[in-house]
Parts: sequence; C-alpha cells; structure tokens
Amino acid sequence: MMYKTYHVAQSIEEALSLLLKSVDRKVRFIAGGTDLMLQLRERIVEADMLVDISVIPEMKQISQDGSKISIGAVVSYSEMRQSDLLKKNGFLLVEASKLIGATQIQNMGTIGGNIGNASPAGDILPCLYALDAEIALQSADKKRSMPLRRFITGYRQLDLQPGELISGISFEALQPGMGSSFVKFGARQAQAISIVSVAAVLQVQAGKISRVAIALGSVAPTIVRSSSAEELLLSEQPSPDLFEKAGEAARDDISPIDDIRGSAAFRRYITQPLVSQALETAWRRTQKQI
Amino acid sequence: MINNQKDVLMDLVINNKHISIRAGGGRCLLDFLREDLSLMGTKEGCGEGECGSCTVLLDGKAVLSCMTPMERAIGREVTTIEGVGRPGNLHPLQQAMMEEGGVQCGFCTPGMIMSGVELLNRKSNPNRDEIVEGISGNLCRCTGYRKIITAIERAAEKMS
Amino acid sequence: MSDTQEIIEIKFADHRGYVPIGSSVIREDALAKVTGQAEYSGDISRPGMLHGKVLMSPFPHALVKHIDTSKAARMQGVHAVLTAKDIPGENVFGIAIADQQVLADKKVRFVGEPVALVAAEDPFIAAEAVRSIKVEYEPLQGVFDPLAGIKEDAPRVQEQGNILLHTKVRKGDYLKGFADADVVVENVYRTHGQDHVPLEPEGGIAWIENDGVLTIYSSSQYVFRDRKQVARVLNLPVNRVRSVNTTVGGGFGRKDDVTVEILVSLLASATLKPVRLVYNRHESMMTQTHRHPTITRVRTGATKEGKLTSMEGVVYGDTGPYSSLGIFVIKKMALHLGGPYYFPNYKCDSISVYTNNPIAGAFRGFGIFQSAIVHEQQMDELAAKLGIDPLEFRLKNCLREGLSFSTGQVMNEACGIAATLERLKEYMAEHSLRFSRNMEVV
Repeated sequence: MMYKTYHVAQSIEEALSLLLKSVDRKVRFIAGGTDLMLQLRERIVEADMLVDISVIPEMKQISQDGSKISIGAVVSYSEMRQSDLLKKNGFLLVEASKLIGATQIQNMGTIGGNIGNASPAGDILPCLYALDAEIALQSADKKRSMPLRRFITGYRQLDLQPGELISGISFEALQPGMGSSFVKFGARQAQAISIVSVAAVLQVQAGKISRVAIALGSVAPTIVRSSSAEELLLSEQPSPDLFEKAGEAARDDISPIDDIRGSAAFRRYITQPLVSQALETAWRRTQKQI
Repeated sequence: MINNQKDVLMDLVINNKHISIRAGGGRCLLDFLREDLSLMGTKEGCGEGECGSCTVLLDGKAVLSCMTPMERAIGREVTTIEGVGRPGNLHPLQQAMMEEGGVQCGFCTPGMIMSGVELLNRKSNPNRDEIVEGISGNLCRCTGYRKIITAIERAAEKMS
Repeated sequence: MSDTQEIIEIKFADHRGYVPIGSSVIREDALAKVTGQAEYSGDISRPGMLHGKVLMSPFPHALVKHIDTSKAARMQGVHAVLTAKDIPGENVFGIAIADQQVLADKKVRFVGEPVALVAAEDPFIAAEAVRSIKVEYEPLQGVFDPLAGIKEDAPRVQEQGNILLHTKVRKGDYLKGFADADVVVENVYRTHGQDHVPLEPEGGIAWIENDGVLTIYSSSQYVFRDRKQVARVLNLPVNRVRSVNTTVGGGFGRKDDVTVEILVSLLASATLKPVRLVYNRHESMMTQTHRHPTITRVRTGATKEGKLTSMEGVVYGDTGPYSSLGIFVIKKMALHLGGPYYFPNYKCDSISVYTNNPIAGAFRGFGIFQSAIVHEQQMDELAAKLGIDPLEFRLKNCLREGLSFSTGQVMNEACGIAATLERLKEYMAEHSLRFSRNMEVV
C-alpha cells in the first residue's frame, strides 16, 4: 500500500476539516498526483491519508473579476491550454501548459501542484513570477494572500502554514499592447524537464518599452526575476539587438548548478539566446494583443 | 499490512460495463486494473510517468494509470485497451496499426492506441504535427514512430 | 495496366509459392498486441503465486561482511528469504563465460548486484521485507575507468585480474604502411554507455510442475541457454528444467543472457509455489546489461592519391564487473575498427576490462556501432586533409570482391558497400546535394 485511506473532498471546508481531524496522522492533499504518487511509490513521502482536492468546484475555475484573472489550484494544464480567458489575458500560461509533459501529464497535473512542488524547474512558475502573481491560501479559520515570489522561500520550500491549503492564484490581466511568451530548453520537446526556461512579459508604448518582466527557471534554487535585464530594457526602443544584450545581462542574475540535465556553464550559455528569443516573441505579440 | 482487507468499494464503469467490487485500496489504478480485474492489456513500462505504456482513459481523458490513485476512478468511467475493440470488432486505429506495421514488440501498443484514440476523439482530422504531439507522451523503442503516425493518419481518414 | 504493374507481376512470377516475399504482410501476433491480449512475462499468473523481489547492492565494490535476514523471514506473508548460501548448485552464471555470481557471496562488484531474494504474498510485503534485510558492507576501492583498471596497482574487480580479453588483429606491416603514407590522422574517441530500455522490463514466473519439472516462463531471447544456466545453479539435470518464452516486449540484446530466470527458479524451488518477479524500470537499469562505453586511440594513414595505407588502433572496452557477452562485443571491435574499408596493413588491439561500472553486454550492433564512429570520423578527416570529396575517398577505399578484410578474409560475396556508395552518389546528384567542408550534407 502506498497510503491507507483516500477521501474525496467536495469543498475546501471539507478538505480542511479532514486535515484538522487527522492531526496525528500523515495526511497529504492530492490534486493531479503526478509528483505525489511517484514520491509515495519511492517512499520519499509517507502518507496515511490522501485527501483528493481535484474535484472541488471553486478550485477548478478560471475566472475574471475586473482586471484580475484567477485560476483555481486544481485547474489542469489541459484546461489552461484550452482556456479562452487565458489565451486573451495570459498567453504565456497557455504556452507553458502546452510544453509540460505530454497529453497525459497535462490532463492530470495542476497549477497548484506545480506551485506546491516549488521546483525551480516547474514550468508554470516563471510565467507566474513574470505576471507578479498572488497566491491565495486558506485554512479553517482564515484566508490570506501574498505575492508568489514571497510564498516560495527556497528550493522546494514554501511559507505554507500547518492546516493551510493553496486555493488558487491570481494576476492582473495582460492589456492590449502587452505581449507574453514562454520558452524552454529541454532534452526534447515533450516530456522533458527544463534545463533552462524563460517567461517574458513586455509592453510597448509610443515605441518604448514601458513594462517588462523576465523570469527564469532552473537557474537557481528558486525562480529568478532578472532585474539586470529588466532595467536594461525599460524605456528603450525594442530591437533584436537590445534583446540580445538583455540576454547577456540576465546571465548576471542567475546561479545555476551542474546536474544530470545540464552543466552550470551550459545553463549560463543557453540563458542568453533563450531570453532574447522569449523577448522577441513577446514583442511580436505586443502587436497582436496577446 | 497484507493487502487483502478489501477495504474499498470500487464502483465504476469500466469499458462500458458497470462494476462494483471490494478491493484493497492504497494502490495505483494500474495495479487495480491488472491485479483485481485481470485487465492485463495496460502495461507498466516505467512506473513514473515517462513512458505512457499505462495510459487509460478516465472520463474520456488520457491519464497515466501508474500515477492515478485507484480510488480516483470511483464513480467514473475508465476505458482500457480491452474496451477499445475486440478481434472481429476492431477500432479503426487497431486495424490501421496492424496494417501499417505500427506494432513490433507490442509493449507500448496498448498505451499508444489509448493516446491515439483520445486524440481522434478530440480532433477528427489531426495533422501530422498534432499526431506527433498527441503521442509524445508514449515511448516506443522498436518502430521509430513513423508507422504509428501513419496508422493514426490512416485511422482518421477511415473514421471521417 | 501500367508498366509498373507489369514489372511487378513478372518479378512475382519467380516467387510463386512464397506469397510474403515482396508483399505487405500483417504480423502473426499483431491482433493479440493491438487488443491487449498478448501475454508478456508480467501478465502471467498462477493460483497461489508469490511475488519476488531482489535486494540490490548500494555499493559498487564492497565486501559483504554479514547479512541479517531474520526480520524479513519473520514477516507475515513472507515465504522465503534467500542468500548465496541457499543456492543448491553453483552460484554462477554467464552466457559466454560463467563469471557472474547469482547472489553476492563474499563481495559485491556493482551498484545493483543482487544480494538477497524474497518471495512474499504481496508485492508491498516483498518490498518491505527486502528493506528490512540488514547487510554489513565494507566498501572497497573501485575501478571506474578501463584505463585505471589495467594499471598494475588497480584494485582487482575479479580475482584473476581486470583484463577479461586482449584481442590482437595483425595484417601486413603497419609501420611500413605509415612510412608510405603522406597524411596521417590520429585521434582518441570515447563512446558512452547506453541502456537498451526495452519497454518491457525483465520479468518471469517459475513453478514446479506435478512431475517435478521446473517450469519458467520469461521474457527471454534465448530459452535454451537459459535452462542450462538455471540447471547449473539449481543443481538439476537440464531435462528437469523447461524454459518457455513469453511475448517479449523488446530485447535488443538485453535479454540475451539470463535476466530473472535463475532468481524466480530459486524462489519457486524454495517455496514450492509459483513465483513471479518483474523488475521495475529502476531495478532494470541498475542490474541488467548495457552498451559498452569505449575509449579508442587510433591512427590512420593514406597516400596523397587517396589510398589508405595503414591503420593502428587500441580499444579499451568497459565491460563492467562481469563478462556477459562483453568478451565478444569488444573482441569484434578489434576486427571491425577499420570498417568496410581496405587496409593493406592493419594492427588493432582490443582490451575488455573489468570495472565496477554497470555490466555491459550484447546490444544491437554488438561493437560495430562504437567502431563505426571511429572509422567514419577517420575517413572524413583524412578526406578533408587530402582535399578529396568524402564520398569519392570512401569509394576509392571500400572493400570490394577480391580484397581482404582486417583478418585477411578475402571478400568473395555480399560485399555491397561500393554499390551502396554508388547509389548514394547518384541520389545526391539527383537531389543536388553535396558535402560541405565540415561534412554536412548541403
């Protein structure tokens, strides 16, 4: 047995009360299960009880409230891929969802799982960092929210309190004139864990870059926002040349390591063209309003 | 410790048939299908979500049964290779896989067909790129994929 | 009727009675495979069947000081816990040379080497029991590179020394060949190891029939040798062992040597119950054979007219701690390092070295793949140095009927390299392709 009991929660309240009632037992929430089931099998994680949160209606929605887009924590990558709301207001999330795993993983895995896992190689995370996303957390007695980049405190480490659940994530909808993109480099296109990934958001007004966000994955213990590249770009006129320089600058903000997927030197090398590619794509999209 | 407690009531539709049996919980759907229902067509190639050999449809969506808790299938509809088509009543993709030589050692074949079936259900006329993407979660070590891709194309033609 | 149809009919007339020749046929087993009915090793079960699990070494090289199986043996649902001392016959196997222990006796030689076996009523219990076995190891210095392994003072992987086989191939006078050469290209090549990853990991099931015959169903490439190897370890006459092949979910050489056959047989014989053992991917990658990593130093000479004069090479093959088919794979490299080209003078040595890396064995290509990387790169560099088109250079030097191979064997049939290259030349002309300076097709 990988776990003893399994409960399907129908609401956030039910999920949280199951967690509270089982203080002396090892309880884990399960959404997509693509990481947890592997950890249970390998005995990296032990659990007495799994609480399935994958069918809780309010956690399964992508919604808009004014300029704010909210994504429930158990929305799957497939659902993000197909979301018209995201295609219009956060295209980079659609793009990243297409590049995660393959069909089966996209049908199973969820945005909340990607956040909760807090791996620097999680492909949704650079997108959310570039969007300055806020995370919504809920426990039996309170709700709180905070910027995602403060919630993720280190390599696979979260500021998650006991009895708390990630209920969703939200960000300001991208406006007309803004473009976004996500690019990754892996051993192959599908089913590969990123060696380096880059998310970019760009806005051009009156021929000058008025807003820019560049986030990099797999180059440090957590996702990195490249302030050097962002500073270099702001108020400048966009051009492929400038984007190449931004890629160079991004190298200063990363601290990659050697691992089985790639060396630190290779990660440093590939960061520059990936950043410049992400920026060029985002720039092209500023003209298409996505 | 011994897993013969039969502590979970598995009530679900499997290959269009409603079943309700007691089984030992705490395992992945793949093990339940193979050990409790003797549906041996679904294979374990890696057990960690890399190879796609264990692909089944859960409410019509392709999922990896090695990473799906068995209890998640309760109240839902599961389709395995055994439910796709039988000899004498094959799915067009099964027929095309045979005719195009998309089958060699055959171990990836059930999972590959499940991914292909999901794709054909989603898109009646997928182009080559969409087919490649559709089966990119399934590894094959024998064919080099070309004949499998052709088989899916052929099946799509037949079905339209 | 079009011309092409006519031609096909005429061609077929010669093969009347042999329907499959020239026509597209559906594999015999395709229907079973597309419907999920084909039975692979892990799909077979028997009433009362137990599940086998292997405790594998976490050390590449270590003495086994003590094994405590008492906790595992006491666990509810566990029917057998076996170590080397429980083996009824010889604790040895190996398809070419019997140099591999079934279960580690005095020492372990690679990460993943089987140390103990468990048979239990449930796979989870079997895994729990394996985890509860305590082994006391004394880690030893290891050999992780064939070049380090051949040094005088290297730790000994096998007691008789680290060199498994040294093959020498000599033809003509290689030194004279280099004296005649106008250009010489010298390089060192390293090729890496590789896992076959047959999609079906190794597996099998064994039981004792009513007549006492040990019956094994397994995913194997070679049942006849399997049964002989099982018989030796179980101390049974070969005719008391029946080995049956299941549908094989890919082998590529991996399942040439025995995989789990001996292990399931030991467990079935100890418990008198059917026992099935199927490796998961992780176990399979650790404990089974791989492609040989190799290191090759080579030099090749040619005249300015573009004729090869000599080749000298030495190959170091990393065979891991046991021979499997490594002895033949690396042996072949000494013969084939020159590829399908004619060398009047040839000297090549290949040395198969025991190391504490994963075991290397048969893998599609069988040493030819590693050789091809060497000889084709040598050809390209020579052609570039001489300013000759790489295809022309190969045509000038390829083996043809009447010419001799590295071993001196004269080609008198099935020597198709020239015809292949000629066809390639035509094809490239038809499609306006050529080789660029750095040997890319443009």
